[in-house]
Parts: sequence; structure tokens; C-alpha cells
Amino acid sequence: MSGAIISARRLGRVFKVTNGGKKQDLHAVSALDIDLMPGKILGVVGESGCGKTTLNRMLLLLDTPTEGEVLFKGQDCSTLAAEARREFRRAVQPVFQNPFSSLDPRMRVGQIIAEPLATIAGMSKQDIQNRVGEVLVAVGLRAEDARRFPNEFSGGQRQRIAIARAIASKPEVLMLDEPVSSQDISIRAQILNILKDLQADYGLSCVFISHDLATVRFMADDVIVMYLGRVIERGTARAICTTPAHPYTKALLAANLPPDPDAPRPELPPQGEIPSPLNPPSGCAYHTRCPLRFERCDRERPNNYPTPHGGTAACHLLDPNLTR
Amino acid sequence: MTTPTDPPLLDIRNLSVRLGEGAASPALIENINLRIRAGETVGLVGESGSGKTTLGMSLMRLLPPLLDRGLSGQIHYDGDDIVQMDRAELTRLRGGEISMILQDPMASLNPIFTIGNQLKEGLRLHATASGSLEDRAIAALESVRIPSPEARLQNHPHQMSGGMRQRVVGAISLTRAPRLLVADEPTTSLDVTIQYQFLELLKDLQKRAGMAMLFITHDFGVVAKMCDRVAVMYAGQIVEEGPVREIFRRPRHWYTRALLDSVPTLDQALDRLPTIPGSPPSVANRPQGCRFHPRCANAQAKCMQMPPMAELAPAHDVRCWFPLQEQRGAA
Repeated sequence: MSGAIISARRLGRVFKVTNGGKKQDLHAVSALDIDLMPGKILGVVGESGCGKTTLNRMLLLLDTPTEGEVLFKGQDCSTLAAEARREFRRAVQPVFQNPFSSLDPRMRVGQIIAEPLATIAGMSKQDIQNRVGEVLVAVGLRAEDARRFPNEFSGGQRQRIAIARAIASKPEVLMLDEPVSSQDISIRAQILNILKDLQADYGLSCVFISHDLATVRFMADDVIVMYLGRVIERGTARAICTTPAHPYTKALLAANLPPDPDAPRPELPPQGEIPSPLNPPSGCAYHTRCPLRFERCDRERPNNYPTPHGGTAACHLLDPNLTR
Repeated sequence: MTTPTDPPLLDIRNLSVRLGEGAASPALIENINLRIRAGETVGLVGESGSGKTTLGMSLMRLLPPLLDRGLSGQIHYDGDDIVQMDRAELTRLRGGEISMILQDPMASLNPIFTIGNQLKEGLRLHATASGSLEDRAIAALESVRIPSPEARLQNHPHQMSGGMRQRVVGAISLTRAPRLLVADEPTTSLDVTIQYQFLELLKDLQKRAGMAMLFITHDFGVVAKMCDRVAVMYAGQIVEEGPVREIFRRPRHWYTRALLDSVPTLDQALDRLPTIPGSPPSVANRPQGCRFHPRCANAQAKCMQMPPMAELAPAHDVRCWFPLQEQRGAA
């Protein structure tokens, strides 16, 4: 699709691992396509081993794909010249899960936030100091906090600092990898609101990675659901969270525990273990846990079929030519 | 099902844990009153630093020595006071009468011994049961639905998935048929589909054994699924306690209400989430009077005094001078 800020085309990452003395390939991400459109939030949902963190690292150019490519405004990132790479670093900023490990304890908050500004040529000391104060205020802290160290702040305040750092260079894209998972519940809502406000105020595009469907529903416009390195369903946040088509998305939805003691029991409760990505099942990777599997599922990898609500899902049950 | 007139299995009265002796020392938890009846699941919800884990640990007297010395009040268990117990009595209590499941199964299991070895350690203490140790270990793994249990006995913890490990911890903590299980965030480290299955399993095991449970969590969804009653903790105190439906439908404390409202849900697309300003106070910085008043939307002059715990509806207590009246979602 044209006009996307960041795209992935048939993106894949294979890790060479040694397992019990045997050399093996671990397919962390396979054949992944996404288009992040300007001003939109793309949610990425999945459980451990689904490849969401590897995807994040590749989209940040912190890891090199073994297949396919990452495009930044249509340009293949593997061929970016030094200057263009520097521009990418300014324009695409991460916020990680744990602000206790993502902030250097020996740097003052002001230095931490000013660091990405080094990607911008010609900023004076005064410009940098002003910008640091501005973004601290934008995340609900005070400009004076620039002089303090990270250990003087609570977990929620540290995540605000991490967000301030991310927006300091006036980026176009935020890559958010589980940004509230390590936070207390009363803090989560504060952080989510800040992110949503900043996104709207600055017209940012975001990739929002989470294991929690309800949070993704609040944040995202569109959602991809990943399982063992592949996208198994995509659609609007509303469709994914209310009328999912893939049995795995349905299981994720069933596993989401609503804060309501009278919530009805799900029809298809989740079952089984997540298989090892070192030894993924044949055919549809979900068939070992799927309550609706039939003989075709362990033989053949399903194509992406259109879902009733305008998305796609990789499930044989959606094949219009299905005969059982 | 027990009736409210049965004497409770566990009756916590005025329990405090202080950093040092004397009523003036800062308290991690303060004047906790809580009862758990046989077969009942009581949820203990709160944010980090609210004291929920300190409370759980104090029930088995597993606090670090400094804090254990700061323990005051009573924990009546089946007629005996756990606070007064000596070492021998505590040994009998731990694992036999009260058992625990903690958040991280990797920290509960010993990485250098096999699963079988660790299961049998508990089984050996249970002299009354019949059958060989091996058979009983296999049966224990079967009871937590671990496939091919014979083979799994030879595994070391690192050879199992997180969900599988937590089920082994469950099997070990249930080997001596405890009457009370303290589960401290047992599913927080698990994936959501695995969490769901573990909670179902726990509920099923509890029902079969008629065991009571204190379920410590920060997740209201887990509370809604698992608990009969809920106690909400804030800054070392219980601020509200009541039947699970009452707490969710008609919370009386402003903190409970605000917390519930701040959780995103699947069925509504909100533009903004309602928030609680500020963050929970640390032990050293707890405010005067009602602990929540600096963050409360309805704080008034009277809130500078500590409100007592008052019963507003049957078995529904709240620590607030101006409790909420209306139902949730009605506005």
C-alpha cells in the first residue's frame, strides 16, 4: 500500500540455535506483511514465542531480517545511507516495557531525554534544554525534573520519562512494546491516556505491542494477531475484539477475564500448550490446540481468507470452497 | 457450601506488621481484620506496596526475621493462634494445613533436582497415604493434568513450560491436602490462554478438596472469575471488603470504584480512560488520615482523620467517611 510510513514485506527472521548439541533453525517471524499508515495505531497481539518482540526489533532496525524487507516511506531500510539512517533514528522511537532497565541510572533525566536530539544537526544547548523541558511537561512532569536521576522517580513516572525521551526528537513513529505491562493498574490508565493524547496531538503513528486484548482495543485502530511467528488474523480493533474469525483469536478473547463476576463462560475455552517455536506443528500451527480442527489442518498451511468484518484470517474454515 | 454461622477457618484480628517494635514504627500492614471460611475463596486485591504479599507471608510466618518480630495481633487458625506458634507447630502448619503458590514457578522449584524428586519430598512427609511413592507422585501430576506423568517425573524444571511448571508447583503444594491455599499472583507470569487453564484447574482442585483459598492478585478479571469475597488493600490497610458481586456492582470506596473504572474492557471503545491521579504512597510517606485522600475525587476536611471500617450492607465493610451510594454503570 502506498503512503505507509513503515511497511514490512514478507519479513522473516530465522535464528540459528543449538538445541541439545543439534543445530536448528528457529523461525521467529515468517512472511509478515504490515503497513503502518500515518496517524494510525497498529496493535500487535500474541503470546510468548509469537515473534512480537523480534518484529519490534526489526522494525526499529535493531535486528536484521533474514528474509523480506522493512520499508521506511517506501525505501528499503537495508540500503539506507548513513544520513537517511540518522533520519530514521530521529523519526522512529521506541518505548520499552520496563523503565527500570530502559533508563540509564547514572544519567540525569535531562541527559536521557536529550540523547535522541543528537540525531538532529544544529541544535544549540539552549534549544536542547527548552525541548527537554517541553516534553517533560507534555508527559505530566515538571521541567525541573531534568536535573534529577531516574531512581528518584516511581515506576509510572519513569515510564513518563521514557515517553518524553521518545517524543523529544519530534518523531513520526512510536514503537511501543508492552509499555504498561510492568505498571500498577492505577498507573496504566494514566500512561495509556498520555500515549493516546500525544498520538493525537502530534499525529504520530504507533505500533502497539501487547498481550492484552482489552488494552489493544482501547489503543489501536487496526490489529494483527500473531501465533508462532505468523499473522493469523488481521482486522479493525473492534472486529478483532468483538467478532474474531480465527479460532486462536477466539481463544485469546475467551482467556480475557472481564471484571465482571457474572460474565458468561466462553463457548470455546482455550486449551493446550503453546508449542515450541523450534518444533512448530505442520500445516496450520494452531491445529494442535484448535477445537475445530479437521484433517486438512495438519497437512496444509491455510491461506489468508477474507473475514465477514473486512479483515483476513488464516483458517481453512473460512475457505469459500471448503468441502468437508 | 458453608453457612455464615460456621466458625471461620482463618480469623485474622488486628494484624499489623511494623518495621520495629512499638505502635509508632511505620507499618507495612496495619490493623487487618479478615476471615476465611472453609471452602471459600477470598480475593486480596491491591497495587504494589499495598501490603498484600506481606499479609500472605505473615499467615505462614514466612516474613523475614526483622518483620516477623514486628508482627502483632492474632491469626486464629482452627482455634490456634499462628502468631503465638513455636517452630514445631509452624512446621506442622506449613505445607500440611496451609500451603502456598507463588508468582514465579522457577523460583519455587529447585533447578538441579528432577520434578519427581521434588514431588516425593513432600509426599514422604505424608505418612498416612497408601501406595508407592512413585505411584503417588504420578497420581499427583495426573491430578494437575500433566500429560505422560511417568516421563515428566524425570524432567528438570527447565525442561518444562511456564504453565507446566506452575502446575507442578500446584501439585507439590497440594500433596498434603492443605485446608487453606495462599495463592500469591500465581498466574501473573503466565500467558493468558495458559492462565485461563490454570485458574480452571485450581478452581476444580479446590472444589474437590473443599479447600479454602486466599487469592492475592492485582487483576480484577481474575478476582471476578475466582473469588467469593474480595478485600481491597490500599497503603497497608483493607479499605473495602465484601461479596464479589457487591464489590463489582456497588463499590462503596472511592478507590475501589476508581480502580475498576480505569480498567479497559473489550466491549466499549472509550476515548480516554478514567484515571486516579498520582501514585500509591510508599511506606515512609503514607499520608495522615484516610490513606487515599490525596488521590481521592471526593476528599474533604474530615478525611484528615482516619475513617473506621464500617459495615454498610450485610458483610460489606468500607473504610470511608463518605461512602459511594450509587451503583456502578448506573450514571
